[in-house]
Amino acid sequence: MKKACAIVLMLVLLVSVVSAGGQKEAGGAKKIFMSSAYYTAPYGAPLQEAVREKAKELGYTVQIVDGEQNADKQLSQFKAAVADGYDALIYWPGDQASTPPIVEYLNSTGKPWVALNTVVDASVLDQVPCMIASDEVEIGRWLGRLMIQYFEKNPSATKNVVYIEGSPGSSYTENLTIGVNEVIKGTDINIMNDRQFAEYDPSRAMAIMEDMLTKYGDKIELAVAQDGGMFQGAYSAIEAAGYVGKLGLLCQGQDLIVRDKLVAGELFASVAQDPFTEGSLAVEMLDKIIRGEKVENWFATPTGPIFKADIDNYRWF
Amino acid sequence: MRKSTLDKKYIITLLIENAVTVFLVGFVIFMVFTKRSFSTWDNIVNIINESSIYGIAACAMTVVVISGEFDLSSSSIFGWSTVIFVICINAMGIVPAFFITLVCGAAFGALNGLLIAKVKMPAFVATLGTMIAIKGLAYVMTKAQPINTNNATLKAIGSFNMGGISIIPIVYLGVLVLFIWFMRYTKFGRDIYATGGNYEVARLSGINVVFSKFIVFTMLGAAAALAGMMYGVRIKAGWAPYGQDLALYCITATIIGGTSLLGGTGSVGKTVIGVLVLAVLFNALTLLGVSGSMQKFIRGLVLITVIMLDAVVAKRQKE
Repeated sequence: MKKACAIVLMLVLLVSVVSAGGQKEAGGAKKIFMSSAYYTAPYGAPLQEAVREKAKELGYTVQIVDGEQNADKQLSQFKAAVADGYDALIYWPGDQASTPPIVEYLNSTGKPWVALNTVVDASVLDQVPCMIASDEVEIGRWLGRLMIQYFEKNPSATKNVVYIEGSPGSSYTENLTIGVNEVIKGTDINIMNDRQFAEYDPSRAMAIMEDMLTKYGDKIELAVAQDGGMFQGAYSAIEAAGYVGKLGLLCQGQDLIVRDKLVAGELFASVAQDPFTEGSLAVEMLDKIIRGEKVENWFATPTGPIFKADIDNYRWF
Repeated sequence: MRKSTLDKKYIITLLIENAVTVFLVGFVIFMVFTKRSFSTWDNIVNIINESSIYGIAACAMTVVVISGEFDLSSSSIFGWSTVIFVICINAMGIVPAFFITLVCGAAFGALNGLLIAKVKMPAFVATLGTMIAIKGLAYVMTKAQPINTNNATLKAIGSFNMGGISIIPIVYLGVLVLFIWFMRYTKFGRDIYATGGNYEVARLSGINVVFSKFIVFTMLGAAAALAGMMYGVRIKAGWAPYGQDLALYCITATIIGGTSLLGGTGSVGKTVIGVLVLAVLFNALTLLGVSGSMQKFIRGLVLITVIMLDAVVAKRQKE
């Protein structure tokens, strides 16, 4: 039985490799290679879909691989891609600090390339042909502005907020918090908790929110999450404790969960960060570089607040 | 007639027993004929450089698995080591950084060894605990921020190469030779096999089983630290989450290499084949244009297939 299973698995493996590898590119089309550090993140899927769509529209074939937030792996992937004759490269880094050796390598290849989403280390930012990313601090500022707007509409003497963050040390998390603090500094908004990191994991966000509800109960007036997934986790805890409608909710994100809560009127507002625009822009800018056109060193993805009335103006994922 | 039947059976057994090597050779041949870029020197060097960092830790993980245990915390020791290595380089230079990082790694390994060998905690629980604690400590050290370095010596070491091969595979080769010698030619190495094969029998025959287990974890801590430093040499940065897939990678390479999770059998040399299978597979899947999601599926399938083959071999050997 075991022998039969092993033979079947070997055959499945062989067929998988051969069939997966047998998907040949269209003859003559230029090839783009993308290493995505956040391949499996909720934000990654629509962004990568947009890259594929735009590449197809512009006549390129594209391969996207999972960099698994491992800079060494990403470096090796790019080296393999260059050895395989890819014409252009897209780099989505996992963190800022590890970007210099990869940026230096990409420049040494002489191939057109762009960086995406995670802003590279300041020491090599001017060496990147084109950086396509949201202004992360600005997203944070919007969260801060929306906190102020919420309390203008729902006046309170205490203005108590629970604020759930992503991953400690990630530039995205840190920059959002910088933006939030910049805007609410000098106001009487009170972030009740010490820094709480749910690492973009809904179940961790749920646990944090449960702890906050146990500790502060109905003193909490507004819960803010740095993304839609963590918002969902926090919402589940709030729902289980029977607090839906009794406290305000605010997050960043453009996923369907966020949309549904906006429609239901349970979410005060969200801050847009559009993966489709970002992915599409990356290929557009790369195409311009390939054709020898001049591009801006920095291309910011548009950001702004989304209220219930605006939901039809956005593409959700 | 009888002789040819025996020969056929012998060849089949030989092929199954060496299925991983057969798979590796077959896959390499397939790739050489399918993708010309696979057999270019640049790509071969890339595979060697890429596999060497985790390969260093995989050698020590094999010894831990032979002793009948495993270690989840090596990932965190790796991440911690990238952090402390970069901090110390920026503060004191490369030589003190090297020794401090190595001693820290060995100390964390020794702590694991103490908890498992002396306190008799299950390896899963003990190393899960230390994994979380060490990662937390690394976050505290850096206020959770990734850090990088512009140290000129580190840059010089990082850019050293012989025909494209960096310093990391040379270090890997050194570690590999050391571990093969240790396991094959020293009494202590044989004691580790005996401890993993049958703990009680080894203890009753006078082997210091507690010390054996303590030492294997200490060695793994030091090896994970060395691997972390090599990562620092390549990337010139440190951050707690770096290397989070290290433990799983090392255990996978060890199993693919034919070392039994039950302990007592296996070899460091064969783990090299496991490391190479993973490296060649990752590289080949990228060259073949396989998407990230499909790559994960195939990698999982490889692991299951190898474990199944291992079970077939074990059954045949019993018969």
